[in-house]
Amino acid sequence: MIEELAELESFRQEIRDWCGDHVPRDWRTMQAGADHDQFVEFSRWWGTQLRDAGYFAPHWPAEWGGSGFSLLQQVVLAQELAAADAPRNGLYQVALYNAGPSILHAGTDQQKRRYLPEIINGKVWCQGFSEPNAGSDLAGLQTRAYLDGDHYVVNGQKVWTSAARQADHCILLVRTDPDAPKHKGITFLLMDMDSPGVEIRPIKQATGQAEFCETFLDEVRVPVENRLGAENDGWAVSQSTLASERGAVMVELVERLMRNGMMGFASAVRHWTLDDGTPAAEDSGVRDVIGSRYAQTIVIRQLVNRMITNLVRRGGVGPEASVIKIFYSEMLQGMFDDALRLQGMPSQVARPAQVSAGWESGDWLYDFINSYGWLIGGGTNEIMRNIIAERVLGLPKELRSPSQRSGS
Amino acid sequence: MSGLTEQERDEFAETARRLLTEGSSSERVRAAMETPHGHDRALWNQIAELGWLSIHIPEDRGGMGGSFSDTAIMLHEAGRQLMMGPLLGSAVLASAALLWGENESLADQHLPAMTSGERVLTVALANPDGSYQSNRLGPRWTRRHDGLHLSGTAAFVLDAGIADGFIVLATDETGSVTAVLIDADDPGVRVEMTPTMDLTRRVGMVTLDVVVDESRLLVEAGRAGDLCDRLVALGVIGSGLDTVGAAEQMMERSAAYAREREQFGRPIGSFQAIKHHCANMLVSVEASRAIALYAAELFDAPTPDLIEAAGAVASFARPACAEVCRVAVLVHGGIGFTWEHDAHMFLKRSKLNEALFGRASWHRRRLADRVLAPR
Repeated sequence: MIEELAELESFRQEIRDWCGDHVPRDWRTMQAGADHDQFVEFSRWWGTQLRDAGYFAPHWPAEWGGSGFSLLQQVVLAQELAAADAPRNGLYQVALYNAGPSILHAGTDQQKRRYLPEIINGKVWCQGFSEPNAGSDLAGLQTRAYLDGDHYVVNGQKVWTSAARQADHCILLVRTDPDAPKHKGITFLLMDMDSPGVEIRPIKQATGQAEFCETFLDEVRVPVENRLGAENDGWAVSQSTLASERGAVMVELVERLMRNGMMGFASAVRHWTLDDGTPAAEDSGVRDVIGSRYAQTIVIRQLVNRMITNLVRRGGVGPEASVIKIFYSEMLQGMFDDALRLQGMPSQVARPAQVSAGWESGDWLYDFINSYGWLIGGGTNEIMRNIIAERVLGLPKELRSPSQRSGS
Repeated sequence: MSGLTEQERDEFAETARRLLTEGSSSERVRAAMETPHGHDRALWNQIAELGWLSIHIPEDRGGMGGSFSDTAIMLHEAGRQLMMGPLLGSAVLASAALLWGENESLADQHLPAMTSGERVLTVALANPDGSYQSNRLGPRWTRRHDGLHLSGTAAFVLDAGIADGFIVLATDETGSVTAVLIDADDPGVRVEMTPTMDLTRRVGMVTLDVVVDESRLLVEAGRAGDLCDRLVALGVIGSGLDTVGAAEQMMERSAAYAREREQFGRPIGSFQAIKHHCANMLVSVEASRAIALYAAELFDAPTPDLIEAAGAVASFARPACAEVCRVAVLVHGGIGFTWEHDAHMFLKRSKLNEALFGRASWHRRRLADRVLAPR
């Protein structure tokens, strides 16, 4: 890690001590097979612990109730939470990393005063961006909103709305000008989830869990004062949100990948036996696989380290964030796939799902299936590659369909 | 710890790139490829005068007093331009061996002439079967009444044809390692060049039947196992930085070609298949650069992470960068398969780099031993 981190040793020790006192040793066992309500209850409890310690919103400025941590302090916190195998603060991800930063970035004083303290106090947000016909082509979204006096009236359907069932509010992208080019006719709204006309239906995922929902919007009235940024400028506002999805969070994810993922994989392998009775750990083919994956964990750590270093020393990043997303997601899925191949039939036994366990629950088949979330979410890797090719390497845009408009 | 500041390193990289773009241009590399030893002495002397052969050598030994991270910049830039000559073998590996050894007078005797570019030393340790494991090196050593006897063959010795001397690492029957400095004109030293498809790198076999006295030892006889491991790690990382530079160049040229070359009435870079090839190149180059630079930094304050970082370069970065060079030929299509185009030179260099100082599989298994060790 970069040299500047050495100055934060006492800060690190403080967090380590706190984790020692507060991370429940048995939380993984407790959460195995937990139902939806138990998950929410546990998440809220853990959120309270973090809040009381001042670790709930590490990246927010202190004036808005955040910890006001420097980037390096955030890195240390992330490393220590991962090292202590603390539960992930998943329920509040959208509130803390998407809604909050967008409001901080584009909100009026009134919006900041209304929403930011609420987030700190535990309000849950969900994200209404994707639609059944607007996935990779997010800017082609068709949920419509028209002005009626001092309200927008919204009609349409959103999908992959995470935590919609618990959410108090939703960051919502709607089309307000169907005649404008598709990126120019979108508006960003802050919608109360208990507004009349909002109906949610859980989506059962391939894992069997239902973390996401479909959200149907039928004549939902959103006050104009809950618009974030200017009308038809929602795309630009949302881009700052997407950027904030990946940042210091990657440090935590990569540390967990190293510890629970890679080291967990290696310790599991020590107990496995191959078809001819050889202990798996003694087989040269198996060792090749393990060594190769371990090398990749060392590489991704340094990619993230480099991104942080560039942020700290040069104040900006190059293409690292997109590179990290692609590398991380593909390595995550590949490692779980390795585990399935090496474990053989025992890997196929279904176990109670570990909710709130992050991406490395140690149930390789579940984790393998769950890892698609990273390959598809936040922009599919295929789209990420187009973006890298066009924006970083300057390759020409692909021929698109004649209509660059959204109306139809 | 870097000798240069962040800004100085940026400036150094820029200067090195400017100098090598001209001094190691495609024309000059191709001209040097036709020479028997593949060495552009004019360029070598120019670089020596600038002090770039002694970046990580302390000032009291006539060097620049920089760090290995600073030398890493040079290796990376050299790879971008397929620079020929004994940069890795002599300026990096042999000088490191002398610095890490405990024989001060040997270091005093050789380092100044090496940094001025007059003398070329290289490191000889590979087994002819292509392995670099310290307990089964090609050269063997035994202690005799008249001194240390070295026999056997070190294969794939970088720049063997122009070396004035060899730092030979040898194993005995118990697997313990000894490191000695052998002069090329010591009686009983035979050098035979090994033809390689990669004409930008030259290797040879050094066959020994030599007796030397203890003054030639870099460290106490039989105690050079750690030195051997560190040299292999440095060799992996050095060739890794070179290959990152080569892959970066191929990525840039592929993207440039994809922007300009038109088929079906549009630039081929507008096709998603080509785009994704190029994007994959960028992912590999960024990831490989991150690990290779990190690994180079570790030489300045060696920790156990060093062997792991070198393992990651061997397991991931070198194969990934060779893959970049492989795909670059595809992006260029037919022209990329011609001798006239440079792509094949980068491809061959990256494939040689991939195998130098040990196969990826060996390094992976050594990494696995560390993770799978009972804890």
